[in-house]
Amino acid sequence: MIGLTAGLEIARKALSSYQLALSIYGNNIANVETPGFSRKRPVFGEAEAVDIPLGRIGLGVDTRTIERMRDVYLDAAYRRENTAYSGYESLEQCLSEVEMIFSEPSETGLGDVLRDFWDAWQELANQPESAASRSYVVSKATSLCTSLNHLTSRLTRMRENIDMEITGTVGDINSLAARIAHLNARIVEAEVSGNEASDLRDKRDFLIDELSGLAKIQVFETADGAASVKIGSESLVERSTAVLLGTSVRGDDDIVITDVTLGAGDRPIRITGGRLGGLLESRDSILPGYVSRLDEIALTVVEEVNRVHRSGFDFAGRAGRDFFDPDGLTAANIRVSDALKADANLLAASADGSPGNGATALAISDLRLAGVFGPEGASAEDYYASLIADLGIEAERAGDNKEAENLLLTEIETRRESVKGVSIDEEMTNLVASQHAYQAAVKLVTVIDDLMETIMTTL
Amino acid sequence: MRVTGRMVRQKILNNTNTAMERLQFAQTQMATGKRILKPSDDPLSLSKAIRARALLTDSRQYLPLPGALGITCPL
Repeated sequence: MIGLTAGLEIARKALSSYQLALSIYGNNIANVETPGFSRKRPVFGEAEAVDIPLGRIGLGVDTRTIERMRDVYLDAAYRRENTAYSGYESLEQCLSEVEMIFSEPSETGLGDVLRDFWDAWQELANQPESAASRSYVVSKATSLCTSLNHLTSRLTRMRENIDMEITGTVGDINSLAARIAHLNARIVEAEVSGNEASDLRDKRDFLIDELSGLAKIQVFETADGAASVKIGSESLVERSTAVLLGTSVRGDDDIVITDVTLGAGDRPIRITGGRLGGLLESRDSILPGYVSRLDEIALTVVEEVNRVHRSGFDFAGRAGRDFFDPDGLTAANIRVSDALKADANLLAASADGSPGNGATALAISDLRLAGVFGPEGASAEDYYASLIADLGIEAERAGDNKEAENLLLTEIETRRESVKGVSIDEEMTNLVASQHAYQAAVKLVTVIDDLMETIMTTL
Repeated sequence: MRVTGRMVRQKILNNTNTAMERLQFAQTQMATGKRILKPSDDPLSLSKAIRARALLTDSRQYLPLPGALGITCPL
């Protein structure tokens, strides 16, 4: 037989276990809205039993550990998809801004300006002697130049803004890396005793989730609980040290470009995925791509129009000169030559020197259909239409990818929440169960007390 | 599956948001009278539209001429 005092010991263990359980459930309820919190639950086990003649009898309950509800596989999946989602999100943002800059379909886009330009030449071909038609050509050509200049400068400004955002994102990554390294140190220290530092782990997991949105990372956990984080193939966090990212600046096409480097070195590192990956791709390939297609339009217009224009004769019968300034061969600096802007009579509409002849103007107007634009020799309208179609397709694809990733991410987050999230209903039930268990243990104490008193007073 | 309050709320919010996005798009289409608001809405149709518009103005250039000859043109 075991004695009455052993019964008191059983009651004491039960009381302290359920008291602990109550504070764990209470903490869960209190943190129901805390971002990054994973619910905890006490794991009870029967205390080591003792032998009695009839068999073995338990000596009450022990709280083995406090379990932190978390699924490592889902965490990894969440981070992977978060990287992909954030990357597409930043590409989509960039492309929809480019769409806004081109402002098609509208009556003010480059498409209409280009069309007006060619139409003005045709108008001039019909009425080569009209002063109004002449100044109309110059004014439409000036609008075309302004429109190209304006589009390019907006795309370039956007590149500069994205560059600033890249610098900012590098700062965010560094701040997260430093905090993760700091938490690593605290977790290793706290877990020497063998108990899980659950609150610190929640904080660290939350920071790693956030980091996964900024760039593609790989996370490994060492045996003592530190998390190492790799970005690309470089180590970002190793135990309690963070190797911070640096930036180095170089000039490119008159604007300043920031390269991401490891530490204070000058060697740029390759970063893919996440917001930073998306920003880098926008800055280094998407935006320059559209600028170069505008450059292609500008270069072809300048070279072809000048070539035909030089072959004609102006109003006074003199040989034609360059219509566009031959020094402005890019979309950024294309402009009508100053001489023509000052005097529209210098326009060479005539092919034979007589003022009534409009054959050269017609030849220039025919350039739109001549198939001189782009490497495949498209007409002006086709080249521009396919530029806009490509932009649309690229933006549509980024949007679709983002939407698909969003669905996947939401699904994973739902499954993760199902494991780690606090359910108030469940906690309330646990609370009531623990309350009853606690009350029963108190009853046990009073019963044993009564028995002891009986022994003391009646014997 | 365990379902928590936050899961339920998030689901409602996501679905409402998707519906609101669609509604907003349809309202903008109605207000502007345009089916295609930006190139990514329908890239291929838009490029066709740009080509067609170019063709249209190009054809209009020829209109004053038959008018001058006393021929009426229905366009």
